[in-house]
Amino acid sequence: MSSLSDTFRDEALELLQELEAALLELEESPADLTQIDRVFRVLHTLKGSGSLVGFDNVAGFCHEAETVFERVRSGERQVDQELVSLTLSAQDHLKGMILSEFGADKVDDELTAELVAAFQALLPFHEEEKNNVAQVILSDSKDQTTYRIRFRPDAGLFRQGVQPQFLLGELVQLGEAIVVAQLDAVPALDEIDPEECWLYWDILLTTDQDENAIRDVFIFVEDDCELFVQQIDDGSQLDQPEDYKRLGEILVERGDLTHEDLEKYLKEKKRLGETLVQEGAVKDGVVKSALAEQERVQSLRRERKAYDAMDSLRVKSDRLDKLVNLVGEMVTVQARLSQFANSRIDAELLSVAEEVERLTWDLRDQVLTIRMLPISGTFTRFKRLIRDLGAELGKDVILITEGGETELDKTVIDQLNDPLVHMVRNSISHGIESPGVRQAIGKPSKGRITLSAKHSGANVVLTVADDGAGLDVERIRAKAIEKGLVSEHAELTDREIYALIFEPGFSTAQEVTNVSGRGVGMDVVRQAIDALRGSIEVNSEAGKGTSFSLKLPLTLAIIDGLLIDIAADHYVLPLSAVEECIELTREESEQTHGRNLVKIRGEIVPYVRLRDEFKINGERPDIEQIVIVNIEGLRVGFVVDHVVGEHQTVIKNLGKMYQDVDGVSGATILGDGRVALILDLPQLAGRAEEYEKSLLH
Amino acid sequence: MTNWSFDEENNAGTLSVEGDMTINYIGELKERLVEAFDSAERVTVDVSSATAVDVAGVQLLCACHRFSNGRGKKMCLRLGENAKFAQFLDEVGFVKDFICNHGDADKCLWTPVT
Repeated sequence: MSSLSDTFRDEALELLQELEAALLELEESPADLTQIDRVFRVLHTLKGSGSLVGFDNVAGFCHEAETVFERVRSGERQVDQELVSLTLSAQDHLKGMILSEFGADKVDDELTAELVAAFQALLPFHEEEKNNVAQVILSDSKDQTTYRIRFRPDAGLFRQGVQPQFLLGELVQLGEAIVVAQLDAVPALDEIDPEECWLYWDILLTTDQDENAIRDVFIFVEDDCELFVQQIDDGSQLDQPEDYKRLGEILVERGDLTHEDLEKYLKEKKRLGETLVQEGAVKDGVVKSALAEQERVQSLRRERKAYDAMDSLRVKSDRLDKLVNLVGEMVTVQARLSQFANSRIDAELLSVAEEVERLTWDLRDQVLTIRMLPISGTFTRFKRLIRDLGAELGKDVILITEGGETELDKTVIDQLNDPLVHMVRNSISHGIESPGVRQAIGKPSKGRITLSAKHSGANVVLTVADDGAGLDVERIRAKAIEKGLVSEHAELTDREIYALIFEPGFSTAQEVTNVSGRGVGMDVVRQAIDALRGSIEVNSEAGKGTSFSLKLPLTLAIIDGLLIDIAADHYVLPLSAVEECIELTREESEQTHGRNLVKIRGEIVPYVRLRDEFKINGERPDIEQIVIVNIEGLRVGFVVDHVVGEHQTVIKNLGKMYQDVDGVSGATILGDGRVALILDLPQLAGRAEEYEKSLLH
Repeated sequence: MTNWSFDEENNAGTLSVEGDMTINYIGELKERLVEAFDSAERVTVDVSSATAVDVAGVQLLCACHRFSNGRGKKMCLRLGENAKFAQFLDEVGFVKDFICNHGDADKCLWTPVT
């Protein structure tokens, strides 16, 4: 707790003692104005300082009692026994509320509400206000939002009996506010009609209330003023960069400066604020208030970041990698222990093995969580890239991010950067049209690139979407024919044509160098995503835009696998892709006359016999198992001898020698020490598809 | 309600406001201020004994400041110990350094002389 709040506690306890003394005096002589003032002053001070140190519940509660005593002070109400007793109870309750902020027991919220209601019942029209007040007390845990408000009353405001200070005061009650009066429209003494209002106000309000609550403050003058309320910072969004808008942007947004003027003054090398004031383009007060906004939002974001980082510890990522490796070893040993315990008739050993299993699984989950990071950091980096690249290519592009809080394994995030950069570059250079073209076809001149992330089962789906021209199917096809990737007469679906852009050699070297300067084509993107055990789906609509969806596993270290046998060998299939397992009898497979197809509930599903694929000799069993998996929306079966069951698979690399073996993405060590290969399902399915096609031609 | 004292040697005068500086008295107050600026080159408006103030009152002081700047005259504001007045300025957003200084902090009316 900060020293400010400590000071508040000490002062508040003294003030409460004073309140008690004043109330007891008041009980003796209810008309004593000195004592009434004393009570009011204590309540008012407590409200103000409580709000200052952020104890809004204390401030809200004091406000209720203060309102009643305000009426007493103005002679609209008498002090009676009921009011004194109620205020004494409130005094005890306030003490509890304050001490609870410093670690004492929480106060009874129901009692708070009861006391608030009792004070309100002493006011006229108390029913109407009830809802507002309940909000003040209960809403302290909600996220804070910052609004920019400009209140410009009509000149005739005073004549209607409206005093702007009361409106401003009410606004300040809603949260933390910076109020700046703007004086530039005030005429000189010899010209002013002093009964007209020429002032207007810029207010920056950080509050847990919504925009309607702000507008409600001005409800009685809404026809006699210009009111502009705009949300500029949302506390619930954690992935915002610390930097806030530049001064020029704020002034343009507020309508104090035009785009054209901004461009003009930016060309002068001096500080923008000074230039604008010197040239008389914007009044000094307006610049100062925009600077206050900039400072406030930046400091709010810094505080929020500091709060997030408060309970964290920096650890080198290689230490974490070691920890994950050790946990992997432990999972393997635990599997051996369980297998060993199951083979012995020893209840005690079995119980120890089960306990070790439970702990190991917990440990695994915890360690994997440590490595999870939100993707927002990666997204933020693209802001700059998009801005720079847009400027270089003469395109106006904005980035929109969604789901930045989605977490992914650090290793996955690290390896994602390059493919994402390439896809974004492609979107800007090939997808988004130049502003002139966009306007001509009725699109907004600013192009949009959306980066979004969301969870989908054991995977995360990342999408890079643009609202550009869409993929040109004919051009891709022509290029593919020119490169000899497809024959001139091949009949291809749109999906197959989109897939061609990932073929090696599809991007011409010249094109890539111009845009990215890195010599990376979309084939490298596919390779990188494959290496992450992910998949890519392309969707495109001519004139509307293109989206690339990357489906990625949450982690690369340990996966849930399905262990299967073929002859004496074990293999693992990633369980996240598996939909179901069904039996395949010898008769069924012979009925299809050599075509590898099976009918499941009316649907024809192609299958791959892994025994044939891996050229394993020996007799296959009479009843085999088909494991049906879903690869990028397509159902494919893999025929195996036996399905053993679920297996916690610690992924091991295959080593340099076997790295390029098709159809296998890694290996794992089983409980009995044997090695099982992890199958690369998309690659195996792709090979089967090619084989099927070759039969057709 | 107001009290005018004039120092002929320095061509300077002080207008002390001793009542309310609110909309109810604003017309009269304006007249006194116009007279004050007509009769002196340097005018101090002393609000240390002002009993109440509202936005109209503060706005009028602003208009004076604009007028005196335009005529090459000098205007000062004396707040004295009037905490109520100071608090009001704060509440309605008359913040020193935020407004009115036109790039020169010394010229800001809301940096009053105590």
